[in-house]
Order: sequence, then C-alpha cells, then structure tokens
Amino acid sequence: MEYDIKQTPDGLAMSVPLSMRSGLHARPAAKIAQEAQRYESDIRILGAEETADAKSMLDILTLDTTPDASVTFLAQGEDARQALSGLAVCLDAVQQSDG
Amino acid sequence: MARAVLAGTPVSPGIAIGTLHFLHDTRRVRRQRIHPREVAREQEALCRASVALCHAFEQTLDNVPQELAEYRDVIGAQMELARDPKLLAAIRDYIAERHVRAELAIDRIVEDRCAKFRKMEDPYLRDRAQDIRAVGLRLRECLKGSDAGRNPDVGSVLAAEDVSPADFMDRRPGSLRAVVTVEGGPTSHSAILARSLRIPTLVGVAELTDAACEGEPVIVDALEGRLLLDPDEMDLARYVERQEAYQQWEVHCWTGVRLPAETTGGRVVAVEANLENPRDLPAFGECGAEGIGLYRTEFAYFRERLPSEEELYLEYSKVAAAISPAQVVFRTLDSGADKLIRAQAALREQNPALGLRGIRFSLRYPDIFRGQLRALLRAGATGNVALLLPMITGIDEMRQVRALLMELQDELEAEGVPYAADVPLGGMIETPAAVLICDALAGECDFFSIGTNDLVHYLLSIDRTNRHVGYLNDPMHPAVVRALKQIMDTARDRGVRVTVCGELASDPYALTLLTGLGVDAVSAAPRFIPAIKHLIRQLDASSCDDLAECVLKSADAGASRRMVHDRLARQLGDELPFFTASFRTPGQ
Repeated sequence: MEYDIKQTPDGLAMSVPLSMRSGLHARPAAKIAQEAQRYESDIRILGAEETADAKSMLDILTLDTTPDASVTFLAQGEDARQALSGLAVCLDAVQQSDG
Repeated sequence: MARAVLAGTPVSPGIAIGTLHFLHDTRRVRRQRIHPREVAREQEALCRASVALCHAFEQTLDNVPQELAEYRDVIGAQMELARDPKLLAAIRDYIAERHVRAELAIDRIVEDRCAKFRKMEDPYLRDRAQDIRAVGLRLRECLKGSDAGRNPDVGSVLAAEDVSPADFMDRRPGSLRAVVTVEGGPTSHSAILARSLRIPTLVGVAELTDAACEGEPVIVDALEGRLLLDPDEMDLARYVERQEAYQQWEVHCWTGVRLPAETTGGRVVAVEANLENPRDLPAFGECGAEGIGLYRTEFAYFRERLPSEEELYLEYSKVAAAISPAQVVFRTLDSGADKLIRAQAALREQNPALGLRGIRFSLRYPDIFRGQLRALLRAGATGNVALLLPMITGIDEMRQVRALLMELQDELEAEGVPYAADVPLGGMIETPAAVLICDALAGECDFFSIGTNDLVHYLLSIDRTNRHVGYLNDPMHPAVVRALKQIMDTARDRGVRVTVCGELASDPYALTLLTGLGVDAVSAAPRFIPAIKHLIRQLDASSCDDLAECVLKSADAGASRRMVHDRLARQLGDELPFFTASFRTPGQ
C-alpha cells in the first residue's frame, strides 16, 4: 500500500492506519524496531496521546494503540525518506501476516 | 523420606532423577554503591551482556527444529528486547545517576517497565511483563558470565518461575532431564513443547522457589505430580523401579503397534494418524497407525504467495502414494481464527472464530478452492484419498462442494488429466448446528469426522485464546457428552462412519468414553498412537458401554470425571498415570 509522506516542521510525516487485531503486538513491534534501527534518522511514532521511539520495541509496545487506530511516523535526519519508505513496506508485511 | 514433597500438575509424563538448577537467580540484588570512576566499567559490562545475550538468542534460533518454527518469533521478540536501545539507555542512566552496579540497575529498570505493563488494560500486553522479566533475568546472568543458555548442565532438572520456548531450545538435546515451574498450565506453549520433546514436566509447583535449593538432588514424578526434594535411598530405589516400569511400558506399547486395537468383547477401533506435512511420513510408518484420519492442508498456505495446483498435487500425491492402499483423509483448507492466511487477514474480522473460516472461506474464494480440489482429485488417482470439509453448518455447503467436484471432474476429463471419480466426501462435525442436523448431514456425507477441539469451544462458548475461560474446557461437560452421543447414534443408524480427530482422541479418559459411545475410529498425532492402541486393548467393550451410560445420565461434569477415573484406575492400576492426559482429572 502507498502512504502519503508529508513535509512538516518536525520532519517527514507518514500517517498509517493500524489494522492489526489488537494494536501492536510483540512480533510486529519487534519487526518495526528492527527496521527503524537500520536508519540514522530519529524516528518517532505518534499515537493518540503518547509518542514512542520507533527503534525501541518496548516503547512501541507501551504505545497503547487500539484496533483500527491510525498512527503517524515522524522521521528527522539524512535518510528520513528512505526510513519511512522502508517502514511502509515493513508495516504492510507485518499487518498481512498478523496472526 | 525425602526432605519435602511438593505437589504439581504433570503436563508431560515421565520420571526423572537429577540435580535441581534454577534457571535464573531470583534472589534480590544487593544495593551497593560504586565509585564514580567505576560507572563507565559497569556501563560497558551492561553493553557486553546485551551483546552476549543477543548472540545466545541467535544460537537458540539456529537450534529451533523445523516443526517448532512457530516459536522463532517468540525468541526473535525476546532478542529485540535484549538490545532495546531505550531500555539499555535507561539502565545506563540509572548506573550513572545512582552510582550502582549494572546488576541492580537492570533489576530496577526492568521491574519498573514490568510494572507499567502489568497495569495495561489489554491482557495480551499485560502478559508481556513476563517476557521483559525473563530478558532482565538473563541479562543479569550474562553480566556474571554464567548465562544458563551457554552452559547447559548435563542431567539437570530445570526449575523456574516460568519457562519460555527459548529456554528449552537453548539446551543441547538430551541435556535436560525434567522441568518444574511455579507458573504455567497444560495448554501453555511450554507444556506443548515439553510433550513434543518428551521432557517430563511439572507446572504449578507453588512452593518451588521457597522450598527447593539450588543444586540439591530431586526426583521429578511427572506421572503422579510430585517433586521430591533431597530423596533418601528408599525413595531413590522406589523411583528407579518406577522409572524402569514406565520405560518398559513405553517399550511394550511400541512393540504392540502392529496389533489391532481390539477390546475384550471384540470391539475394534481403527486408530489413525493426524499429519500435516509429508515430512511426518516416517513417523507415520513407525507408529502403527492404520491410515491418515486427518491430513491438515494449511501448511502450504502459510507462505508469502498462494501455492499452485501443481505444488499441491505433488504434496498430496506423495502422501497418498506413500501410504497406499491405506486411506488418507485430506481436510480442505481450514484457515482458522488463530491461523490467518493473507487473503483472510485482509478481511480483518472482529471475531474470526465466528467468521469466514473453513468451508465458508473456501466457498467465498472459489479460485483458491478450485485449485485445491483439482489437486486433491488428481492425487486420488495415485492412492486411496478421501476429502473432508471443515466448519460445516448446513447441507447446502455439502451440496455446493459436490456440484463443484462434478464440474472439476468434467474439466479434468476434458483435459485428459488422470483423476479419481469416486472420492468419498466427509463433513466435519464441529459446530452445534452440525450436531443438531447430523441426521440430515448423514444423507449428504460419506463419513463424519468430529473435530472435538472446536466442538467443545463452540458448544461451551469459549474462546481458545482467552486463558481466563480455559477452565471451562471440559470434554466431560454433559453438553459435550450428549452431543457426541447424538452424533454417534445418528451415524450408526444411517451407516455413516465416525472418526474423532481432536485432542480427545489421545486422552485416556475421553478415549474410554468414546469407545463406550461406539466410535469407529480415532485419529491423533503419531506419538500418541502406540499408547492409544495399548489402552484400547485393555478395555472391555461392555464395561465401556456401561460407563458411557452412567456418564450420559450425569449432569455433573466433576462426577463424570470421577466415574471415568475410578473405572480406569481399577482397570489399569499403576499404569494409568503412564498415559498422557490432556485434560484435568480428579486429584490434579
């Protein structure tokens, strides 16, 4: 799936609907953290109320998402655009194999 | 006399004698201030421990056998926690700010994070506190250079609050004699894993951490549910004898695998195997099963792309040809609530257990279904093949599939491709609807197969992934017993053969009841088959009939369990605990 990437004052932003059955579980959270760690950029995930460091699985898990919620990935740094495209592919893969 | 005898629930049978080793050092960490100069050294030690632990997890991943591949993700997630940048940064900061040893900092930060998770609303996330705690404990072990994962003790009995699949797979095969834990239940991942690795295991040993000492000799009786601490000569002599009896019993079961499962009084129950992969064929050949009562076809679909008809044909024909002239019953795709495939994940159902699964899914996606049915019809030409449809709720579903099969046969005929024209078509009886209309279904089905796991769940309205209602999972519930009776009676009247293929088939209590209700065949994982046949050979047909009648009259599941237990205990004596029971029994 293609997601829109927008330039904001805080960096590049990508809004993603999360359609996993019960928010982010351990396995998808681990996959996202692994992917985020591949990039130099500072990457944050903005939930409804909290913000998580995308490189920390523990942080992602504490982002208490609800099913069908939407979150925004915010990346700042040299490779911000590559990071967001990489994460988009990764998210598609984990959402499809969620089970 | 042993120093103490602790009670526990056996989840994997056997007896082991060995030395007790705690998986983690759960003692409280001493608070000890360090000099500011030592801060950097402690922080470096933490970093090294994290690297060492990740390395240990990587090795564990290499040791995961193919058939247990589903546990890779569990271990992968733990590895990610072990190198979580935020977690490690918080521990480093704690060392620097408080001037404490890395060990204490790990303990405090991990406890703090666990506390956060324990407060979460989502029960799944609450349970993750255990993962974090397990990783914290192992980080501390790595810090001391004594990580259990790298130093497996030969002949040891592993003791822990709880064990994760990684803890099993860390060990060299054969190095672990038994496992005893404080937490856990018979259906946990670790219990299932222990059974498949044949490691005697006790769970729910409440007093374990208080009463047992590191390094002391113990006897694990995972037949009767006892842990003997520091046994004396007499205990040892008794248990060495019991262990030998158990081993002889196992050998005895295996030597009789080629004999039919016939009760006294001449009732024969066909004993068949559940398979899901051609790789299981050698195990099938050894176990003495008379056919494949249930071949699960989901495996090929758990991939990135859908399998082609040709790939499926190769798999199915390989199995059919290998066991011919014995029959293999292929169940068509039963992607269930807990094992989503890609196309189904796209549906994102609120309640998949009651959603588009089994035959409903196949009929909705005819392109996927047609490919599978064509492959199955073609495989029919290479052996003795039958088809089984999952999640049937009405005769219309059976009729639609029959019509589709006719169409596909015409197609194959026109293409000149060999196929079987007379493949028997059966229906799974696993929904309350199917039970209530099984007389009508008998007119549409060549045979019935009772999927007891789903039937129990749907009849008693319990979600199998919800551990809060696991206690209701009871095959002796009168609703389950009456449903079984209705299916078997109807089937017998209409001349339809009935196979039972869920977990009940391998449970000694349920098996006795099923024999009394008149089941034609049972199908279970190959490793259970020698014991199933051995048990049936010791049963008496009229005694089973009598027992079934008593259980049918009982409205109290507890009383029913006691009745079956008492009867079997009289019949089998000391042998009864040798059988693996998958459900709670009296006294446990």
